[in-house]
Amino acid sequence: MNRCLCLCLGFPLMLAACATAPEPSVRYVEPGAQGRVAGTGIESQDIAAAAQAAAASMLQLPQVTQSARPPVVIITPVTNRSASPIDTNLYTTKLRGALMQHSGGRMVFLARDAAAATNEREQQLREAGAVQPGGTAATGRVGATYDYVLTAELQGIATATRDGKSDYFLVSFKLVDFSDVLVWESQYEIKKEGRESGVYR
Amino acid sequence: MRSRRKAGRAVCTVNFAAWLLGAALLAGCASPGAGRSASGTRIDPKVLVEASEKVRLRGIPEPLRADFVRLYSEGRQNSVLHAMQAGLRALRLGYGDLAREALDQAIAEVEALQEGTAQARRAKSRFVGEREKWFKGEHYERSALYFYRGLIYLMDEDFDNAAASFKRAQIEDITGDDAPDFAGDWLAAEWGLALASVKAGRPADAAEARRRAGGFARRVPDAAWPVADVDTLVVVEAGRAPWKSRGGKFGEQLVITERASAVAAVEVAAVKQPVLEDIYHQASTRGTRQVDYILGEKASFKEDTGNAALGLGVAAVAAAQTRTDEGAIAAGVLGLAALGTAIASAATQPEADIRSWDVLPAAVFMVALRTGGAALEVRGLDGSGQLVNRAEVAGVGQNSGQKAWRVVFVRFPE
Repeated sequence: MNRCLCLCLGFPLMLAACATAPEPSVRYVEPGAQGRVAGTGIESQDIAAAAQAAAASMLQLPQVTQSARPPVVIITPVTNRSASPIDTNLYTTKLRGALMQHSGGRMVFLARDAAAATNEREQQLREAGAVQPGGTAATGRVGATYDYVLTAELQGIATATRDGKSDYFLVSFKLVDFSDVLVWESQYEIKKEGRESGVYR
Repeated sequence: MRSRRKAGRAVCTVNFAAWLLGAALLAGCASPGAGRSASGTRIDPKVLVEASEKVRLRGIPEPLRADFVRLYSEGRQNSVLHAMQAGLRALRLGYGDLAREALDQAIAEVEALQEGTAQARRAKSRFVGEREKWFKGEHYERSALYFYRGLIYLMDEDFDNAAASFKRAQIEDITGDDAPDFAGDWLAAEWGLALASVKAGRPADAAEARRRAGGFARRVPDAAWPVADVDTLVVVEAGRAPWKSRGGKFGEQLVITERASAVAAVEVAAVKQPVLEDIYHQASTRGTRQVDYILGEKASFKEDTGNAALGLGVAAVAAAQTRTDEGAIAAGVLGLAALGTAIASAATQPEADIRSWDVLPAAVFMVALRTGGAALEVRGLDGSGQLVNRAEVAGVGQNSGQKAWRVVFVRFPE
């Protein structure tokens, strides 16, 4: 009787076999290291890694290694032409920070977006005599100009199917001199695939 | 006498099994209501109090408080749903920062593919309802999420990210193998991409968006497309979102019902624009989802185990009526088997998840034009061109300090 009881109680459990399906996962495909990431979109660490690679490449340029003084570079805001909305201001800051960190003083970066308005206001106060110039000329502030413009553009191809999502990003860096001559260009690729649980598909 | 006692025990066993079967069948799922989340889970009153306090301390405007209390109290199971609801309501009411915050939260959680996998795995189980998964919306709701985020980027004059959002809206519009012609066919997203592109100085991208839209199954040949020198975008929403309900013998089918708007076109400053996006069209052209197979299998299991329980129960009664020792044993075994399968059947939850972003409209219209900041009259017209709704948009003074570019929202409830 006990055996019968066990059989009877086990019957519904045997019937209740769970459906199995592949585990949802997100992974880097090629190139780049694999890791646990939240989604297939571009993330701050991707920009940082791209900036680090760009800085390493730029520092090998003759325009940098053979320059009598560190060239001055202005970084324009990151342009996003991908299918992934990003915080372009944050990524521009991240890019500049990564370049500063890896250039080791061999390049100088302008932060006109950060300081120009404040400096202009300060100059007006100096000219009015409201503040002391602190060792610089009281009039005629001359801001530094740049030797090169560094641009960063994000492009991408995104696809989604009933099986999952795929995002390919191309981060393109361009270094352009004051005569509009393209001095250097580098690209950094990121590709991610994501698979979601069947209950969302 | 002895065999009669045994037969009596067997009948009792069968009666007890029937009682348990009835109890199990009556033990339906807890339904959403006061103190319960959108997915029917009980909310701890303490959590509700904390959420209300958080909303109060943040100074959330009164019309949005209920949405934000739900957002803060129902956890990840429903946070995307309430972020969507709160974001769209905030956008309509002019609380751009809150709309941005809420929709960004929803996007981040929808895109977090690895989060909620344990809950998703549970939701596949026969004994766990689909509504226990973390809500991420149906494909049309995810597309709408990116579409509305794109509109906010347009408001912010961030045309690159607006374009990215509209592209993403198309990517989210996936379909099953049985509806291949309807993937990525949001006309409003292509139109928004065209507007963002011309404003960003990329007319070739705008032309490409228009070309793609011309190939959609739902054609709108008389749509007025944006040009570069426009300074005003009027977004008109009309009607109510498609209604989600359950169909099938066990509620395993997701049924989408249209709640059509009376407005078939809008007219703004002599520019007439037909419906750019029909949300019901998007909701109803998904094709078969993978989750439909999962729910169908659950429903089959429920039916099969229910039938088996009935058969075993009948057999148990028949065995008990033999009034022999063997019959009594057989009745006991069959009765317990009937009980087990009845419990399995009753515990199976094949019901489709019908949580819904229900503040979406039925139809979306967009008109881009050069107004110089002038006041505007927005006219909603029915299929025969008769006026059914109208709204006025205040002008922007030349010296008001407001930006030359403006995005205005108009809502026609029906």
